[in-house]
Amino acid sequence: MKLRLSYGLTGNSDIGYYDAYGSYTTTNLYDGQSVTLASSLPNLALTWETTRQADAGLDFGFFGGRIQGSVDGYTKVTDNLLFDVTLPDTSGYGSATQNVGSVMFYGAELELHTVNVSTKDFTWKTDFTYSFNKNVVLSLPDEYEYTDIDGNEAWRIGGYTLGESGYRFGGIAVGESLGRIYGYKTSHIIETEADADAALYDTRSHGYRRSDGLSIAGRKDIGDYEWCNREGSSKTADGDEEINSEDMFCLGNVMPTSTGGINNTFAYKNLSLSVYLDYALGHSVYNYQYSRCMQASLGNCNWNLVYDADKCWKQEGDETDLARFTPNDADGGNRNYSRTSNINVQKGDYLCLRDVTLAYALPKKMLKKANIAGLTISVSGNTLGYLTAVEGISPESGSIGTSTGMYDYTSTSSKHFNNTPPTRKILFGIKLTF
Amino acid sequence: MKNIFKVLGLAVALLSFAACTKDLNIIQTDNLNSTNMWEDESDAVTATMGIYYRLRSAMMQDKESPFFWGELRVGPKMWGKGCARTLCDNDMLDVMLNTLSSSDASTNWSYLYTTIDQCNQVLKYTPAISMSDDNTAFCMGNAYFVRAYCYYWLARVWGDVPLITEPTEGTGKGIYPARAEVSKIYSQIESDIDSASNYVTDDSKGCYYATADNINMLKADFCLWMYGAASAGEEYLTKAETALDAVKNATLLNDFSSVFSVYNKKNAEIAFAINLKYGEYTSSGYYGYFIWGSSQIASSLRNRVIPVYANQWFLYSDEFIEFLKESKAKGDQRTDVSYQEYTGSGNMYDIIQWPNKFMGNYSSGTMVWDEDMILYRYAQYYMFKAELKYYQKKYGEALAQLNIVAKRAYGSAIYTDDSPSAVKQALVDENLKEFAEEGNVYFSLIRLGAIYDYNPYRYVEGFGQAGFDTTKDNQLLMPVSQSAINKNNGLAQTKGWS
Repeated sequence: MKLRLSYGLTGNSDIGYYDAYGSYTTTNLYDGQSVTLASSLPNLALTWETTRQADAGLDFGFFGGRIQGSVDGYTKVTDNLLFDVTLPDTSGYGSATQNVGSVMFYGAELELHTVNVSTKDFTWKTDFTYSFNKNVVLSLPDEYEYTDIDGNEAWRIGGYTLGESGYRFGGIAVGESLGRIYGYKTSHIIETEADADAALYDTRSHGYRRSDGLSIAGRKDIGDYEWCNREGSSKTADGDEEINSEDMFCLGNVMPTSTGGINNTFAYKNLSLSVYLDYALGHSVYNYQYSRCMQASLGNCNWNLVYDADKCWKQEGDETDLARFTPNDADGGNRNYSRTSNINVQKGDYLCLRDVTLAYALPKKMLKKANIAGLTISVSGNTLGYLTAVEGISPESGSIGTSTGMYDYTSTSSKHFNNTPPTRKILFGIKLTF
Repeated sequence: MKNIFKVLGLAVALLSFAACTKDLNIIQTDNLNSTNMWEDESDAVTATMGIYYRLRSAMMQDKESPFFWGELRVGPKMWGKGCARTLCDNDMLDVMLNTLSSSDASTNWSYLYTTIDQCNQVLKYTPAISMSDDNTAFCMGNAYFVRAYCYYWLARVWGDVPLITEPTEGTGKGIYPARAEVSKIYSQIESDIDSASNYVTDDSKGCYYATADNINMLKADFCLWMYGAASAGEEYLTKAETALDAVKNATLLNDFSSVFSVYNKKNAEIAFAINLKYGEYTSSGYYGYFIWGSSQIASSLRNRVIPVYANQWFLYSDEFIEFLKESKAKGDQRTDVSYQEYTGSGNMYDIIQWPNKFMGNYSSGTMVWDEDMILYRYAQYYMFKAELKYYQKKYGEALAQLNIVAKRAYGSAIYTDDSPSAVKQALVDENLKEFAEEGNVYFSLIRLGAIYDYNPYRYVEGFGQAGFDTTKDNQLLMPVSQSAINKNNGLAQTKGWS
């Protein structure tokens, strides 16, 4: 048994060439004459992002090395986090890289390596890893400070403000985690015309009804979703509750809380098989592609229908989570599918068959005559399949701080639906040694 | 062997120390940035051209445009759905019917502020650059003029808006402004117009830039607004009169259609326009919404007899078409310019109707949107003058001015009734006929106190409840976009809107 302790400081200066000094473009014309335009905002105060990390770990081994493993705990605090902050639309700029405060990432990791069976001809080993990760924002710059409705000091970038109560939520805030996805939440499907008449005014609905063929803004039809209203959100001018862009709920987080993998290796004489599975739990994916399929709209590209179209609500009594299917939901329908909601934000938990390798090493006796030291023939497959609830696209998770992951968290409704997923590969190999 | 490592180690150590004695902050002089911009005359002049580049982007947006802000709100009495009354999206209907919400595209003001930021940069840095007086005057005058012009849009469309007079140069609290009272915006506009006219004293630069004439047109427009819509008092009538008296080049072309022709840009009737040019910048702006899609028109007619583009999203209402046709019966040459119809196209739809005033160049068979956007033309000068005389209760003089416009249109001075109500009605009618599609009649109707006659709160067949509900606050303004509010804690939504 062994105890490990470590502490480290690392820096990150991953910014563009002109992020500190700003830049101008001179490639445009007006009335045939050249034009100079500011294209990025200078920020002379831009500095390194620094990360302080402390680790404590315990290595152990039992039964003569048959069971080995380690447990690690870590906390790391990133200060001066480099972040592309969206600027107010009166500023003349869309966004600028800024040092926006500090975030703490913390978690624990467990590793286990076991030799389950070990005989002369057959061995079976298992490697198991598990890690648990969380994060919390510790501080933000003063320009994001405000007084919350309880009179306390608070800091928040972006997010939403409830019109009636003034309560603010979402975005990036001190004491909260990064990477949350916000959207509308369904309450139920409206099943009768009376329910449709009684439904809340919905600012995003075109109010099309099949019974009279009219589009009256804000109205609902049978088969539409009734959305959950947030207490304290702004009301109609007549003082009634309504569904509008303040009725946002936290629908998940792009970052998984648990990740890890299991590798099993079997060896029988010269034949070996290894099967590696990995998993991520606790994250969500905004499945924009699914959303577009359900909208059935023709845009710059045509979207194929999904089988789920068949499960949509058709008549009173239908047991389904899916509202009525309508052509061009975004422009002609009542936007049941044309908004971020709990219908298209799907739990991203997955188990992936990441790698399977079958290898056969030819007996040395056979090779000796040809002066070959070793010959191994193998076949392996990568990313062969997922066990997941996400439909159509990859359930792989986002990453914090960059947009290199499948989904990033820089916006509360990121829709990187067309990123290339990890490729599925089948590889055949021959390894020859002399 | 060991010695070699020692020598190598020492060399590495020395080299790395040496590297640190130099400044690590490298300024890229090959790239224009905040450390080497604003040094000479060309920086200031090209940045001033940049103001017009920004203004062109701002005006040529499709839904954040003069048409949505300054005309569509006249409502379903004037406008209706396009494509044989089938097509209009939610954002469009919300503006037309006054069922706006903060998520509608037209509530976005950001392009105007991007233009204002460009003006603010020029205004801040030009005075310190040593350059010719002419160029200093050009830069300062145009920056003040366009800033006033942008704030004039902002004040009329949103009322209280953030007042920003310094360029954005950092990311602190200063770039998160609250909305300033509209009276402060009006003061800024007035002082910017005055500053502009101190710098720009002639018309030598032509209608794509600030001229003495178009600054006075803006001033007259603003002062009439202050009197008619902002109730700022009689002094603004005097100021409007002074401004109009200073306009020197007021002319009307005899042929109304040639005012808008892509072959006759910068013609004598244009006081202020935004230049579009094939190869430099083309855009359908909102004009593209008036033209039919090619798939609905027989191929033999496309861009020969009937202009085609993407999809027709707007057509005048039937009532307004009738109004234009009645005027044509009286000899009005403007009707055929503002409205066209073609019967017997033999395709999906038998009758094809379209607003016709602004068209790109389709002589090649493909629509190229290189039309200029006209922001002031001299017909407005006569209409402003008529309006001024009407407010001054000089009804006969008002008719005289109106008849100048009428004479070009009908071939004769048709207005004779000088009773106040008749003059007012004539002003309203002539504004609608003369300026349809140009994105300003909504404001004229507000000034004249006629907007509630045109878009009252009522049930409209085929649309539902529509119009300006006078029991609610700020109905003539637009709400601020939700996205602007989410990006800036300091902004509050306009009372009466959500």
